[in-house]
Amino acid sequence: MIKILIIEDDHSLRSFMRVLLSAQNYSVEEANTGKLGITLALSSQPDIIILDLGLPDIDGLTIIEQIREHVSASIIVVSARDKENDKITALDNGADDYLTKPFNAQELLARIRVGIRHQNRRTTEAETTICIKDICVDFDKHRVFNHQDEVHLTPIEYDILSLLVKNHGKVLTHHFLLKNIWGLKSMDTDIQTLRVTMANLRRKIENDPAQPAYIFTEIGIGYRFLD
Amino acid sequence: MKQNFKDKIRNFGIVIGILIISTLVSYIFSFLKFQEATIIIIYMLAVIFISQITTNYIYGFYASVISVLAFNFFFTHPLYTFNISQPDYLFTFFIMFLASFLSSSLTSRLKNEKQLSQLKTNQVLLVEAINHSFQIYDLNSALMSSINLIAENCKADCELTLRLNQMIFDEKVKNSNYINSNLKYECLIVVNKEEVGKLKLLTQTQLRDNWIFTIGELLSQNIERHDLVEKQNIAQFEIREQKMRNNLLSAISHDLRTPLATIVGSSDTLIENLDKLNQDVQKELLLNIKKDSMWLINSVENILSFMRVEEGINLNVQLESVEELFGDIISRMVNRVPQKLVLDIPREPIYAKMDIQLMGKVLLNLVDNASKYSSRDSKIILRAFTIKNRLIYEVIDEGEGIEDSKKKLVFERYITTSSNYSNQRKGLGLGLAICKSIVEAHKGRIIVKDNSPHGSVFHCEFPYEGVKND
Repeated sequence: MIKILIIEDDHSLRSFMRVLLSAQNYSVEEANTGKLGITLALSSQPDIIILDLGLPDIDGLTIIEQIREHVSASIIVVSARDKENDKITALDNGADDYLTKPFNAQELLARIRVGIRHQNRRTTEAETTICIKDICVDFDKHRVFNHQDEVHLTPIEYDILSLLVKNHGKVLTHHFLLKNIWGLKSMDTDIQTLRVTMANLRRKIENDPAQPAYIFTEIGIGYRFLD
Repeated sequence: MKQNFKDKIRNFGIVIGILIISTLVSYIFSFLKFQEATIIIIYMLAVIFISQITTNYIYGFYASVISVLAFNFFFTHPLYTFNISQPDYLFTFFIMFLASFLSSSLTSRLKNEKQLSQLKTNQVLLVEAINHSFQIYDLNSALMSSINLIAENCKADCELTLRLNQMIFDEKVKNSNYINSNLKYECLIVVNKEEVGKLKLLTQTQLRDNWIFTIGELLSQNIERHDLVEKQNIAQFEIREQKMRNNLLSAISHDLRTPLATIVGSSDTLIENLDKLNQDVQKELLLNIKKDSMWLINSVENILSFMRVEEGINLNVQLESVEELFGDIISRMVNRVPQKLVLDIPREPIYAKMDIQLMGKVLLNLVDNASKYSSRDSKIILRAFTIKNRLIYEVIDEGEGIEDSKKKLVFERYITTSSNYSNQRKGLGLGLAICKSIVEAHKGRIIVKDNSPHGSVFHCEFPYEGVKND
């Protein structure tokens, strides 16, 4: 059974999540403080941790820092809309995904499903081919197909696409992509390069690059491949 | 001093030169046996001419004396002596001297009058120019322009030091060409009965009367007026701010309470009567709770962004892809609005500098607005394109449109219009005001036009420098 730990100080929000997640047959643990959250995360090793970034006792970013090395759980951070920078910092420091308050039930469940899938992938063998809808990436041969037609990508485009596909459903920050593709600390000019490369990549795999069916933009944060 | 000496030499040169020329001319005439009267007139003309071009009436006097002597020496018998053969010549000499001296002094007075009136005109022009600069510029630029005008007008170096409120002004304009200017003028600048600075002039030419004090007074008055207007503006601004805050508070307290009442009432009803209510009623109450909660979320978002925008926008500008901006808006709104969203952007990607979070807010508000004021089965077009050096975003709906009289008003805060299309709660009237502030922070402008055959076009345009793809 999938174990989910909710670290959230607001009672109503916690109870809403408990009801929702229990109904989905997840086993739910709750912590109303950061301190208790850290203890539970370390002792019961959950599969998913839902972490509010605005806890009264310990800063959410500090919690991630303290538990990331010791737990394999997917960490989903929850924060208010105006705290974009906190979200990005959390994602760059080990959080796996994020939710913006207020969120609805479907969003929460979708994030949890993605978290569980990546959780499983970590433990099983890496696949040699991943297909999502009509896009297939063959990691052995470095080839990409759309409807069985091969798509010709530049090496950088291929690297970006394979990163996105391997993490499909999960948001990848600009910083993460830059670090993994170019091996650079993110700088303005590189973000621009990333944007241009992404526009070119979309033109090769999307029918309508402005209304993408595969690569979604998370404004100000990064990109997410179709789940 | 040196200057004075040079001046004298020049003037004497003129006197001697012109008299020599007129003597030569007279010689020719006397050789041709013209009458003496002709020669006298030639000398008189010479004297008038001299007083016209020398700088002091005294040279006219000298010239009169010398011309009488020259006439005596060269043209009266016995020639080439100062002796005279006939005593009535003495009378002729006297008349000649008197006539030439009088006409020379008349000439130089005329000349002086002309100079004086020129000076007065200049002074009037200076006063007008200074007043004008205070009317059109901010204080600093007005002062700068004033000292330049003064320096030019008085042919002087001009220095103004000023300390007013938090402002410190200390500028010097060099204009005179001479290093050792010998005339210094100074006067105080007094604003609200308090000495705030000093005006200093260093010049070659003498200033008339109390001209420096007139200028000083002029500056003082202008600065004082400027100061007063500024204070009034600040006071007015504060009053407006206060009023706005009060409006916002009353809007929040009134408009937010109503949906809260729905939420509390509906949930109460559900809790108390859960087993008595049939499923349809339960669902209706729950939907009401959800609808009003969503409204509250939106309103709170808008109030927060409005307050942030009002505090002064801190743009986080980066080069962004317009395609990604619009794609994100469509994907966020497509399930939130009943209308069909149509995206119309060029296939060639456009990259532009912007704060993408804020720009997203503009488009979200515009789409939200378009949705509220048009029928469920119509469509909303989101369009982006570039023309020359402008980037244009348009959100086009097929609703009722906006009356011409209200087209400007809709961007004001707290202005809402009723919609025939939705039974949704009215907004707080902040959305478009936020859009306007954000667009203007990006050095752009937003207007609303008519769509044909009906509906509105919200048109935002920004300066745009084409950015090359890679």
